[in-house]
Formats: sequence, C-alpha cells, structure tokens
Amino acid sequence: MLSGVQRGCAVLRTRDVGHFLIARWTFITVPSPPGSERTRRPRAFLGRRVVWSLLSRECKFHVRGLGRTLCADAGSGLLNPEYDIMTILRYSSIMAHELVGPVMSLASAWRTVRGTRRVTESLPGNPDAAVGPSEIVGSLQLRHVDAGSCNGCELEITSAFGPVYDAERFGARLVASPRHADGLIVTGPVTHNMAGPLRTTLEATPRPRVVIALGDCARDCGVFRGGYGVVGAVSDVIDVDVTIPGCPPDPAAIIGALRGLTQR
Amino acid sequence: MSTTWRALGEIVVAAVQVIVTGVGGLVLVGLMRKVRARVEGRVGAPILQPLRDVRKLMRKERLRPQFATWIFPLAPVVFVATVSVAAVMAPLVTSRPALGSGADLFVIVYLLLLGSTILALAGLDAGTAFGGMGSSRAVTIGALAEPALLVTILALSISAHSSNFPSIIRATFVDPGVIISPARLFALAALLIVIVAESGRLPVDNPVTHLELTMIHEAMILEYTGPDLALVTLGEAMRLALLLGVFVNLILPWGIASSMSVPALALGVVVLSAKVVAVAVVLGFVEVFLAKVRLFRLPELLAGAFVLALLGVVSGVVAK
Amino acid sequence: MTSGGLLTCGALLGLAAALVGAALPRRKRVLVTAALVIATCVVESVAAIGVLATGHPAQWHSSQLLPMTGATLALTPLGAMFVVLVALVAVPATLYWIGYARHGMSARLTASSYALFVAALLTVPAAASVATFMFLWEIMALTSLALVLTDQSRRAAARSAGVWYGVITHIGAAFILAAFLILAAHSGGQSFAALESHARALAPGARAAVFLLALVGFGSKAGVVPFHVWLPKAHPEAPSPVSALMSGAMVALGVYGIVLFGDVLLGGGPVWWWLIVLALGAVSALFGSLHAANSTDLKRLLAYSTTDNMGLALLALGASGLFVATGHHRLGALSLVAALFILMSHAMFKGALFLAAGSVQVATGRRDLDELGGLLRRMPQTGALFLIGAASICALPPFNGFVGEWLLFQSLLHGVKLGSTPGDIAIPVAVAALALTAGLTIVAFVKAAGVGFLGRPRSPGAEAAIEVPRSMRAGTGLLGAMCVVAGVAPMAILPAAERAVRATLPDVGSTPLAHGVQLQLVGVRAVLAPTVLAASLVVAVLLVAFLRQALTRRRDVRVAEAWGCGRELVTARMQYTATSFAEPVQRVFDDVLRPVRDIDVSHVAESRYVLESMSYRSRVDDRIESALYTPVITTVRRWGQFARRLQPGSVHRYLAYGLVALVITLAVVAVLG
Repeated sequence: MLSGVQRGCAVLRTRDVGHFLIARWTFITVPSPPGSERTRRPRAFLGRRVVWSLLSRECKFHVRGLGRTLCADAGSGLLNPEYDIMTILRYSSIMAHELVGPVMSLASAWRTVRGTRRVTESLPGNPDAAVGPSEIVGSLQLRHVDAGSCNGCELEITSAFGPVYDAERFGARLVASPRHADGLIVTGPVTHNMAGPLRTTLEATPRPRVVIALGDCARDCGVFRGGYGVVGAVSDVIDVDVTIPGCPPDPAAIIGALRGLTQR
Repeated sequence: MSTTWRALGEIVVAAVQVIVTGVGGLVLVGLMRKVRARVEGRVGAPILQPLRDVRKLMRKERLRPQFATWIFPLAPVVFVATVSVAAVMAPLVTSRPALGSGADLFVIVYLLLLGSTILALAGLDAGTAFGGMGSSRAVTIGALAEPALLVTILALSISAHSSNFPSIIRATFVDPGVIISPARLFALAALLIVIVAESGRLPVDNPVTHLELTMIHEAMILEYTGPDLALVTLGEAMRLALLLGVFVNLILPWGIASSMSVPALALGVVVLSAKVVAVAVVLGFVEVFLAKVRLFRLPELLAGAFVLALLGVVSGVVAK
Repeated sequence: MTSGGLLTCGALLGLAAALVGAALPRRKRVLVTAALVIATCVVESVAAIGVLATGHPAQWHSSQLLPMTGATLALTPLGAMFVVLVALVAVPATLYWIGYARHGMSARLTASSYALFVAALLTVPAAASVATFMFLWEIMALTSLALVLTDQSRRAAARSAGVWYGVITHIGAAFILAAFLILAAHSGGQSFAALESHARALAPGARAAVFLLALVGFGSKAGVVPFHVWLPKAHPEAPSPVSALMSGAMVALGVYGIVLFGDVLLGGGPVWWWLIVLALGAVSALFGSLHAANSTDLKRLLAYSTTDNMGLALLALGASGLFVATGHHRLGALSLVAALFILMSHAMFKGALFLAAGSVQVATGRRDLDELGGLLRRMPQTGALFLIGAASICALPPFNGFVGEWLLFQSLLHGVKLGSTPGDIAIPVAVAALALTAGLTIVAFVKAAGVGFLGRPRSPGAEAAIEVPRSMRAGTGLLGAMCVVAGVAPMAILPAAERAVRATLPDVGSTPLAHGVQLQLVGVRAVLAPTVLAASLVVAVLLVAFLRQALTRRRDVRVAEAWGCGRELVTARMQYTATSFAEPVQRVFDDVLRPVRDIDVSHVAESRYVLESMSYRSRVDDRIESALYTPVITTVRRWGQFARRLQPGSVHRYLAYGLVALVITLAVVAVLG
C-alpha cells in the first residue's frame, strides 16, 4: 500500500514521513526497514481507513500525487490567479507527471489485450448424436464431484474449461451448487466416505439430470480396483449416463462428450 | 376514444421497456462474459447463452427445501416484479414512461431495495449456513451503499430542483452543460461504484465464483432450482440492465423518445441499446483487470463513493 | 355533543375504566375494563376528528378539579392529531390485552393502571394549562411505571428497568416543569394561551433556556440520545400491550412536547435551536439503528429502533424549524407534515411489531433471537404480521414507512440551495444519516424476521410454539392492516396532518400537499403515486407468478433436504444466528460499538499448556450508558456511602445535629439581623 516505502527506500523523504505518520494513525501494516520485524494487524477502523484509502494508490486516484504537489507549494497554491505563465507550465507538468502513471497503466493494459491472441483451438464439425435429455440441449451446467480421484482427471477438466479447449463455447459451464446444475461430472472411484455424499448430491440435483463418469477410475475403478477404501465404480452407486474413458481422458474427449450432450 | 388509445399506448410502452430490460439484460450478461473471454484469449460462450440457460431452467424440476415457507417461492416473483415495475417507471426508451408521473429516483431505488430484501429473507428461509451468510453479507453491503446512493440522488436532484427522473432528463435537454458540471460528474462516479456494488460485479462480488465462502449474492440463491432460479437470473440481469440504463440516461439522454410514435420508440430502443452496450463493454473490459476486494475492505470503497457523492452535493450547492 | 363535551366524556370513561379495573373480580375484570378503555379511545378520537375536520379547537375548563389551579383542556388540531395517534395504537393494544391478560396481566393494579395510562395518554395532548399538563404527565409516568413493574416479583431485570425508568422519567419531568415555570413566571398565568402571548416578550436568553430545558425533558421521554438509556431496559420488561403503547404512543408525546414548546408556546426560534434538534435526531437515528442491528433480544431490538424512528422524527422537526427560521414557511410546513406522518406510521408499525413479539414470547417463552426460528410455519398469522411490520419499518414500498421517508427526503431535498449556509451544511449530513439509518434498519429487521421466523427452530421452546388466541391476533392484525392502508392510501391521514400543521405554524399560506390520488408537493416538482405503485406491484407480482406457472413444463414441486455440501446431517445449529448475521456490521462499526469480549480459560491442574475449558462471551454494550451514566451513578453511590456515616443510628448523635443546627441558625440570624 505504501509503495513509496515498499520500494525499499530507506531515505526518509518528506512524503514518506507523511505516509508513515498517516499509516500509524490508521493502524495499518507498516513495513519496517529491513532487519526489524514489527507489523501491526490491520483493524477495521472505518473512518480512518476511509480517509487513508482515498489517499492510497489502491483506489487508483492520484489525488495523493496532486495533493503532494499542492502541499509542496503550500505557500502559493495553484489556485492563485496571479501566477505567471512559467509557474503555470511548471505546475501543469508536475500534474501531468502524476497523471502519467494511470495513463501508462491503461496503455500497458491495452497493449496486453492487443497482444493476447486467441489461443483456443478450433474443433471440427458437428457434435455426436444426442445422448442426453432434450432439455439440456444448448445449455448444460455441471457440478463436479470428486468421489476419490487422484486429481489427474480434475486437471484435465480444468484444461477442458481453460483457454485452449474452452468448453464454454459449446454451452457447458461448471457451477457451484448441484441445485443449479443439470448433472454431475464424477471423477475417481467411489470411496466409502464419499458414497453417501455422492448420493446426496445426486438427490439435490433437479431433474432432468445426467451423470457423467469421467476417467477409467469412475468407469471401473481403474488402478484402484479392490482397494480397501473403495466401494466401487460410479455406476455401482448411482446411475451413469455418459462415460468418458481414459486415464486421464484427453480434454478433446471430454469436450466431445459435452458436445454430445449440448448438441453444439 | 383518445384516452383508450393513450392507455393502450402506455401499456405498449411499458411492455416495450420491460421486454427490452429483460431480454437486453440477459444479452448484456452474455456480452460481458464474451468480452471477458475475448480479452483472456478464449472464444467464450455465445452472447445469447444466458437466454438458452433461462429457457432450460424453465423446463427443470422445482425443488423446495424441507423447512422453507411461502417466502421461498414468493421471493423470486417479487424480485422480478419489483425490477419490472422499476423498468416500467424509469425513462429508458421514452422520456414519458407509463407511471412516469411518480417516477422518482427515490422510488426506483427503494423498489430495487424491496427486491433485494425479500431475496435476503429467502436466503435465511432455506435454513442453511450458506443462505444466512449470503443474506448477511448482502444486506451489509446494501446498508453501506445506501448513504452513497441517496446522497447521489440528492446531488443529481439539486440542479434540476427535483428528484423526479423524467424532470432531471428534461432539465438536461434544456441545459446540456449540466452534464459536465462537477456535481453531475462526481455524482455519476459515485453512482457507478454503487451500481457495481448493487449488481454484484467485480470488484465487489465475483459472479462466477465457485467458492461459497467468497460468495455474496450467489450464496443467497444456492437453494433455488428450475423456474425459481430462472426468475432470479432474469431479475439480476434486468437489474443490471436497468441500473446501466439509468446511468447512461443520466450521462447522455439524447436519443430518448419524446413522443409515442413507433419510429421514435424504435430509435429510442436502438440508441439505448447502443449506449448500454458501450458501457457494458467498458465495464467488462475493466473487470478483467480487477480482483475481488476483501469483504472488510468494501466499507472503504463504499465510503469513497459516499465522499464522492458528498463532493457532488457540495459542488452543486456552491455552483450558482 | 360538542367536541369539548366529548372530551370530558372520554376522560370520565377512562376514570370509570380504572375504577372498574380495581373493583371487579378477576373473571370479568379484563373484559369490562378493556371494553371501557376502547370506548374511551373511540369517544376521544371522535372528538379529535371533529376538531380536525372543522379546525376549531375544543375547550373545557373546570376550576374545581385541581386545587388552586383548575383544569383546562383545549384540543387544538395538533393535539387532535396526537389523540388520534394514541387511539390508533390503544384500541388494538387493548384488544390484544384481552387475550394476553392470563399471562400475568390481570391483577387489579395492572388493570386499573392500564386504563389510567391510556386515559392519560389520550388527554395529555389536550392539556392547556401547566398544572393540567404536569398532572396528566405524572399520571402517565406513574401508571406506566406500575405497568413496567408488573413482573418485578419474578425478574430482577424488571426491577432494575423500573428503577431506571422511574428516575429518568422524573428527572425529565423536573426539566419540563422548570421550563414551564420560567414561562409561567413571566406570564402571570398558567394557561397555554397566556404563556403563548407572553412568551414573545421574553428575553432571548430566557427563551433559549426554556427551549433547551424542554428539549432535554421531552427528549428523555422520546428516547433521544443521550437520554435514551431507559428505553432498551423498560420496553422489553413491560408487558407487550404496554410496550406497544409506550413505544408507539408515549414516545410520540415526547416529540409532541418539543413541537409544543418550539412552535406553539415559544412561536419558533433562531436557527441554532433547530440545528441542535437536527443533530440530536441524526445521532439518535444512527445510534438506534446501529444498536438495533446488533441486538439479539427481539424486544430490545424493537426498543432501539424506536430511538431510531424518534431520531427521524426529530430530524424532520429540526428541518421544519430550520426552514421556518430562514423564512421558507411552506417547506417548513412540509417537514412538519413529514414528522407527523412519521410519528403516526411509527405508532402503527411499532405497535404491530411489539404485539407480534409479545405473541412470540407467549408462544415460545423466549425473547432471544438466537433461540427462535421456524415460527412462520408454526404461527402463520403472527409471522405474516411481523413481516408486514418489518417491511413497513424498513420503509419498503408500498407500506407506510416508505411514504414517510419519501416526504422527509423531499423536504430535505428542496431545502438545499435556499441560501442559508447552516441549512446547506446540515441537510446533506441529514440525508446521509437518513440513508445509513435506512440501511441499518434493513439489516436489523431482516435479521429479526429471518432468524426469528424463518429457517429451523433453534430451541425446544420455538419448536413447540403454537398460534396465539384470536384476540391477540386481531389486535396485531388491526395494526398491520393500518400499515397497509396508510401506505396505499396515505391521503386518508395527510389532510388532517396538514390542517394540524397550518394551525401550528404561522404564515403558512397554501397547503404544501395537493390532494387526490397522488401526493403532489405544491410549488416544487415532486409527485408520489402510492396507490398506483401498490396496484402496479400487485399486478406485476400476479403477472410474473402467472407467467411462471404457464411457462414451466413440470408441475411438481419436490421437497428436498437443504443442500449442505453433501453432508448427511444438517442440523438447526448450522444455521446463521442473529449474532453471526450482524457480525459484518459489527466489525465495520467496531470503532463505535467497542464490543466487550470476555474469554475465560481454565487449565488442567497438572499443566498450564493443556486447556480444560474455554468460554467466550461477546456483547455489545450501550456505550453512552457506560460513559455517561455509570460514572454519575458511581459518584452518587460514593457520596451516598459517605453520607451514610452521618447516620450511625445513635440518638445522641442526632440530638447533637439538632443542637448544632439550632446554634448555627441563631448565629446566622444574629449576624444578619
């Protein structure tokens, strides 16, 4: 927050002393010079933090800079109409210098955006034949349930919904609550602890619903078959509509299954 | 005879405003998601995806929590109804909306507040920890945004000597210079922050978060399914569209229809859509670079909005 | 019968009710007393409506009733407004009492005190001389004290509340009496007419002293910060119909007193008086709503929100005086109309809320929100009425609180940029206070309604709740219906308020409000159409519900377990409690609230590093009480302890005191001659 001090500048310039005093007054964390280890927990003292936040860079207002400029010339404020042209130019250049900061950050943002090319791969042609209920054609919201997986399939799901494969363009989306979902996407073999919650989650999903078993473990326990903590495959606990084999399945295969459900 | 025609015309205008807000709101949500996706280098869902989502939700089963009361099914209905009445009342497409005589900015704000309050009650009705958490945070943010909002209305009303919304717009037509007056600019800056807070967008609330502990608005509606969820989604989209429509009509009201003829209305719809789409694209673009603010840093943000609004009032009073 | 005759008839009926309450046996006591009290209210309100309709005050004088001074009653339109306000709360509260009485409110003292209390409340606005006013004020205070102490034999909290209430109300009465005495000393008579005519000749210093004394005295009755400390103690301990009357009607009479002194007797004053009133109002509103948001006791929450609403009324009153003092009479009239409307709607919704809270207490045996829950299913009508009251107090359309806030906001809005600097500074601050209060009230009442009535029951008492008897529901329902009617059709009340204001304030030319289906402010562009708004809301709700039914494919609604992240056991303890609901607000404002946290840790005997038990208590205390009142009480106690040493019980010592006093007196007389 105190970028001036945080830059590691140990020289106590006037503005840093001012910042330091204001920070102490507002009881926020004061990074001390290297070597000492004194910080204070920030407290929510509303009034003081409001005033400080208005002066801090985090609000992205450069009133602080202007204030600094104006305070530095306390004797002759900018509002003095008797200024000559040179003084006006000097003050305008100081203010422009303060405004350069946000303008530069906007410009860099724009450059970043323009430089970001589309990374999504185009996927060919038509989806497979429809496999799910007709209601979810065009719009599919899924709730992911990890019934005991090694998280390899989760990484593939993340990749499938990431920029390269971008499952969202086909109308699929991951949601947080099974109440908002059209179906579950279950990974991993079902462990003892997760059997009940899996059934509960399915019960909490409104009909019509689909269950997608993702990965070899969800299909037939994969490498964990016979393990002491495993109840069985997902189809042993709840009814499964779509199975995506693989250990882990390729994101393209996941997308293919989703496209079959959404028909896009 | 002419009174029946006029009544019919008013109903048509009201319907047009509600439909534009409803459909336009959903398209707006899709558009903001699309802008975010493009900036991130993805393709993103189609712009009309929210419409498909709502259509699908209407066909799904309705679930009700075991201990819920009649508040639970009533809340989404009242939510959408209040936003619709506010959309009928506000001068979005035409500067003479139906019910426009009582179209006070204060009334619009309180109508939206009625919707949020009953939704907060429904969050508590579900009897879950998430519902209570969402309600608690949502009403706290609403309470902190209220001072900024009402002082903004005060600042906007000073120059027009009235808080009647069509009067403010007509005053802007009479004296276009009021748009760049410091009072109006400060008030609009404060209004933008409050709109972001009220519609639950970044940096106040992340609409696509999956972590319940970071949710504010979604935690309240975690129990809704099917048609109820469709209504809530529609209501949120309408609220966003309404607030952005109010915002753009306070900045640049030109293009708004002043008569009830069909070409004027069509032009009004087109111009409003263009203005709102522009603002939404800018908002979506800026959102990509923002992170969600910590919950207990939000009072600072909203207090900053309050101070801006207060500066607007001061400039309005000091100006001649 | 003339209005004056009706007035005396009503007072006599009230007296009869009190006697009947003391005389009758228990079986018939409550019913007959209640019937007589209701008759009193009806008669008095007919008299008041007559005064409001014609605009002519009703008079009555008797030189025999009170010794040395006689009793004078004169019902002005302003007083008539308050009589109607009291009657609007008293009739439903009395109906409620009929069903509530078997829960500890049927004793002789209680019944007769109740009747006298209502009669005093109805007649105080009609008092027209100092003696009559103070007499009736004292009756009001003593009877309400007796009613607060109804339960004192069983609960220590009731005793303590009674002590606080008694002391503060009498200190307030002393201030009021002082103000009256200063005025009366300069007028040579003690009727209000005489006071009014001579008050203009008073020196500005004396006028200021009178106003400040009256402000303190009536402010303590109205529950204004910093004299509010009795409110959160006394209102929860009183029986519910009495709480409704105290919160709805009695505190409004405190504001009546301030209007009486500021506008009627003293005839307006300089700007700084009204700035003080405005500041007190803003601070009360913020303080009350903040503490209401942080209270977990249902009735304490309602009591703090009474402070909040009285703060809003004072805000309107201060704005009114400010505008009149700077020459804008029509705007001042509008603000006073807003103040009167706020008081009336507060009486309605606070009455409904307190009666519903009383029903909850009767049905569950609890008052703490953290132990309630799930009551809307078990007590559907009471719950619905509480929700209506909560929606009204949160100023949500289309209920009456919204109309009051709109009027207040409009009057503040049009008061900016009128050329007076104090106004320009005070009004944005007032708007900000109004807005923050509105937001915090919503937090408080979503908490009260949501945690108390929705969700799952958090205690066996809440689980076993059943709906209360019909008379209790009828009383609450009457007030709830009034809230709805006043919100949808405020034009029923506003003309009366306008007439009262025009009779009170000088130089108000035309009415500030135009009548009709809409509320239109004359001279400024502001229109509110409450009926149209309510109708369009109803139409919209019906339309949306119809569309939802028509467009859904599946007709069934499945009842499911609430989603608890897959946990197979979701209990009532996992819900949010009232404390947790208000925790974000408490953290944001912890600089102001300074919550007190006690953590008790006990260790195992063998080792200091192993905990045996740990308890955590957190509470939000009233800081004004601990900062202002506790030091005073401690000092008084210390002086009292010191003075005790003067009374050791020895007769010799007392005789010595007498001798010393006699010697000193003789010496003084001898020296001074």
